Amino acid sequence: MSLDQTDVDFDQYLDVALDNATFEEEIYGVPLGVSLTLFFYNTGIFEELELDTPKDYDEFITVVETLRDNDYYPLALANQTGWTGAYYQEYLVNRLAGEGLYDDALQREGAGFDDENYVRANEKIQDLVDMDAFNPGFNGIPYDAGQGRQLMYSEQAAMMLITTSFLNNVRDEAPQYEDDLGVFPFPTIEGGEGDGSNLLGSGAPVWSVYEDTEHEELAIELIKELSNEETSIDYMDSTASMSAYEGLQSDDAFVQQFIDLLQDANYLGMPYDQTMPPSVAQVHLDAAQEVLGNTLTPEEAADLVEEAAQNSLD
Amino acid sequence: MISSKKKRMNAWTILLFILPALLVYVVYVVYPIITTFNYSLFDWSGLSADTTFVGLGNYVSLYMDRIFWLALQNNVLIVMASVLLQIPLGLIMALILSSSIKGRRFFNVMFFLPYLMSTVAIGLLWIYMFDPVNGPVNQILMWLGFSPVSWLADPAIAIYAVLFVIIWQFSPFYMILFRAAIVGIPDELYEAADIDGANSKNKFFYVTLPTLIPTIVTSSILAIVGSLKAFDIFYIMTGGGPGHATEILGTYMYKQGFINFSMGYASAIAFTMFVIAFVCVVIIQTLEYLRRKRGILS
Repeated sequence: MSLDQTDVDFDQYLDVALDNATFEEEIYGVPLGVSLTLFFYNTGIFEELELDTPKDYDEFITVVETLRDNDYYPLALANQTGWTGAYYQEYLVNRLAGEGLYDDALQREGAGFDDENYVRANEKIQDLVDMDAFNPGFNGIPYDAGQGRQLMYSEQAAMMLITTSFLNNVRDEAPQYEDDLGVFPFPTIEGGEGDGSNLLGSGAPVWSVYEDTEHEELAIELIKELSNEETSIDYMDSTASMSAYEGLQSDDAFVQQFIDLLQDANYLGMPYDQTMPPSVAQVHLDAAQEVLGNTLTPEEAADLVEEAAQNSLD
Repeated sequence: MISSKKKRMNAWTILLFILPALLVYVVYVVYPIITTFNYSLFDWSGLSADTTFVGLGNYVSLYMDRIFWLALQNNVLIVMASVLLQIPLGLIMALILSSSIKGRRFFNVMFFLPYLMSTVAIGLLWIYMFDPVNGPVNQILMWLGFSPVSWLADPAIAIYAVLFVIIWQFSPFYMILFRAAIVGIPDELYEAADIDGANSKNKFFYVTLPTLIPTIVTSSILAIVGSLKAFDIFYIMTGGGPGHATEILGTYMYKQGFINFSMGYASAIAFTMFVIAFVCVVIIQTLEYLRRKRGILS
């Protein structure tokens, strides 16, 4: 059911987090946690090669080339399931065209997934593949099996575009690696219309109430309890991730860095595969994977997703 | 002569004895097949109560679905690999174990080991073996001077990499079947062959192989049906990817049913899989029946 200001004081929560629980102007849930998708990188390798974290895409390409020429895999990617590689396309489209394009394409309002910016994003991805920016065979490596993260821990690879849950993986799997861990947001693209502060990530968990419940007040009481300041602080401390509660600080330097990035962000975009209808989402992931595998051209991939969107949304 | 009354009594007794098994069979095999066919006639998400009767519409879409035919092709490839490589390999391993070579016990354990591991463990094991950068397979290739191969990421190679793992995993199963059958061959046949002056090659082709025909038939049925309903190892190792390069009917059915939530369409795939497997078994059984009737090779 949709909630209103009399049920929950929404001012307590970050707007960007509430956006993810909003459908047609109505808010349907109370957010607790937020995760972001960012570039994690090896500060040691960057120092050794005297590299700075790239601010725009041209700098990013220079960093990639320098790393490659020094026998590092610039970007670690484990893309068997497709969502890790799809982040590149989703960020590139966001930087090229701004946040409106995806929403318009999804709502079928004046733009489609075959928009030229989707094609351009796919082209940029294939440029990266052609310059050997990724570790070989990435389309056969499942992220969950950990080989992608291993490339980072073993310092064979220098950067990885992944969710902030990577921080917890590092602390579990390779604690000593944390000393060399750094983070930077996806670079801006010169001439692109996207706001450089825009982030991709997701608000989860979000608590909602069943429309036909007999105990509406109790249920609302419960979800408020599950997302109040106290729970939010506990959640942040015990999961090393961010909360959607406005104005909280963290002693954890990484979490504080995430909070600062989120505070400055004007938009938080959910991963496509979580907001598209399932059948379109699968086509999107498959197409992004085939773009990276060079088995589809940028146009073919964009057309495939648009076709699936037309079948399922129009 | 048995009176008709006694015959009827017998029939009741027989029915009573098979009733428990029959009940399980009907509830868990026959009934689901019928309901699957029923679901396949509807446009149904699998989640909501809304169903729309579409008749054979799902089957028409299936017929025009490029990915379905691709998946079927891959299934045929698994069938070929199973029948033409797995079963002969199982037979060779069984023959090695039945011979009097040294270290038979060692081979016995070695050969059987892959079959004892769970498929999930095998899948993960081989994902690591095939790792493009740090995997042992590529390390050995590079050590031998070859360039590394992206085993599971290259659409042209991935299916063969998984097929290799399937053969590695299931050959021991056929080895066991053949071993049991070889033990059952009467020594008199070999003695008679000795008297006729047969060498070991003759003995294999005129005694061992003909007596093993029924086991080969059984193995083929198991291999074909098993290959058609393959799912787990593909789901773990490639998830049907990259793209749809290793998509098989099982993974495609899963994706349609539980990712795209087109349960009606998934049911149509499932029922098609059943029909294909059923037809294959009927053909093999008929051939076997004709062979017995004519008494060839037995």
